[in-house]
Amino acid sequence: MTLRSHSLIVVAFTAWAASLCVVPTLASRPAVAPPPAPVAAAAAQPADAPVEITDADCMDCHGDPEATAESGQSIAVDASKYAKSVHGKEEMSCTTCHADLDGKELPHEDKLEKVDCSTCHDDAVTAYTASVHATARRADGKTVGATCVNCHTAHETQPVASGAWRMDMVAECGTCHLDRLKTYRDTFHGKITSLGFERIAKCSDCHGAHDIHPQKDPRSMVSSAKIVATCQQCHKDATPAYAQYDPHADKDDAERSPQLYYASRFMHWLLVGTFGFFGLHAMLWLPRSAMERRRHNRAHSEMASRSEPEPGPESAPESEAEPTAAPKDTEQS
Amino acid sequence: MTTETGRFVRRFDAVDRTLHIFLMIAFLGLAMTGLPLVFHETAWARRVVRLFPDFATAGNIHRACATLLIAIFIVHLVRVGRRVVGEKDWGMLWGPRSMVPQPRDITDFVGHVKWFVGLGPRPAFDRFTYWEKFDYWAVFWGMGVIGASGLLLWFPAFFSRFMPGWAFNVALLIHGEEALLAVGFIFTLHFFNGHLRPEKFPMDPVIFTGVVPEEEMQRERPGESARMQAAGTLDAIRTTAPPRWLRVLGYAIGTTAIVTGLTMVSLIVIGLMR
Repeated sequence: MTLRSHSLIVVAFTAWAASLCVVPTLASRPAVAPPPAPVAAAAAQPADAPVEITDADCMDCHGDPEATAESGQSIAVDASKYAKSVHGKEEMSCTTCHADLDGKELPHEDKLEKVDCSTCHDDAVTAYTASVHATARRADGKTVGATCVNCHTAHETQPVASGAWRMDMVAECGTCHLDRLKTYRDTFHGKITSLGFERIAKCSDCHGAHDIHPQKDPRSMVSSAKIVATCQQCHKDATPAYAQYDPHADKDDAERSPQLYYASRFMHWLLVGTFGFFGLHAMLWLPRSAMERRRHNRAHSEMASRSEPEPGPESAPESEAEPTAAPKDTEQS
Repeated sequence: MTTETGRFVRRFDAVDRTLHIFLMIAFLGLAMTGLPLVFHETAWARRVVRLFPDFATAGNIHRACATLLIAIFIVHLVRVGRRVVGEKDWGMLWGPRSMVPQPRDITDFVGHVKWFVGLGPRPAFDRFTYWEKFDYWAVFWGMGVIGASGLLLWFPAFFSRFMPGWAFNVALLIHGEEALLAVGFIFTLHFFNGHLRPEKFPMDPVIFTGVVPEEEMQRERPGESARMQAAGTLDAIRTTAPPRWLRVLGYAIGTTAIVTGLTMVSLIVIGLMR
């Protein structure tokens, strides 16, 4: 509760402080100019402000790309990347999220408290709290389940409707779900994504974002209850039969996808067999064909010197019977 | 090595040659728009798809070329059917003139390999050699496999009414693998067998001109030459040298196709080595 009310004060104050700075700047700069660094917003605080910590103070330490905590973990923050993130563009200062800095002396010794994203993103956090990512963590305390920042990198997060976010998403989910990333890459959805196109199903289009549930859970977008509607978001004429297609079929997994597994093995050996057989055939043929061409050219030039006019068809007297005689190079065309 | 003078014999008629040109166009178009999907993780694939305004356009070109290829396939089947059923030309189905594999293709193959290594004479090939038959039936099989799986992927809602879900997973896999086989085979082994081997290098223009020097027929297909001579049918296919413009056009189209094909083979090799 205290955290919540503190945060509200900080948010309200920051908004006010930011507006002091943003309004005159907005009037004077062209629309495309990069937004002023959040440092500027904080630096504009009046002297009698209750919170003294500015972004510039934070960046004194965290601005060093080499900065690490005692554990050796990097604590560096890239101010330019932050400025391009969705929060940076909103001109939020460090203390907007790291509200517990309030009243602390710098440099702060302890690790700061975890940022409470629900201060602003209440719905998302509620949905997340019921999701498999959160329940798996709570269940045994050992299972690794993604939290907010695992997917929305803390200081660089992009607006979720943006192309950049949608292109990054597959890699973000694939950080943990490696096997699913691999099978996704085998499908049209995955192939067209890796060719750089955004308007094609990505992870969250089928699985949802914060409200992800196991497939057996009827709340899941990919549960048997909802899968057809999920496909129909893009494939308007999808039917239950249509949804039997496995968008994560694994050609190397005979149990999950037996037909695909055997089809894959068959195609593999068909390719190896065909190229192996005719490759060898061509390699044996090549030297023989070269010899044949030289022999033919020589016969041709001899014929041409004997009788000036064109050679009649009868006068092509190659005998096929002496194949081992290697002709000398008398190349003429 | 075709001489412009001398006597010529007709090997392919105008319709077959036209079909082959359309086949080349459709095949190259399909390969260009399809290979980036097979090798989607390579840098060149991304560059190739950027040649198209968006991915839907590449898909539309792919389907347009597929439609053209299916049309070519049907025209070919109708022509063969007419000759067999209409003209009762049973020799199309069995015998020395037939594209259907014959027992002698096995002995021809063994004899040819022996000739490669200097252990015997070159077999007296007839109208179609065993490797030409393989080329033909490989494309025939490929049309069936790639065509059927492609239609499945094109109209999934329709086919899902009576096909199980895994059929679409399998269709996507074999469409890509069979395409890789087809493209790889045509651009390396068909090119070598038909055009790039030293006797034919840089290309055999017969598929564009339709005619070969009679001397070449006697040398390369003595079986066919002797058979037709004996039957008295050789005169019927005797003709004159192809016009110069046709030879030039043939060389231009053929060289373009070979350069394009070998470029694609290089890209495939880059993709496979990743």
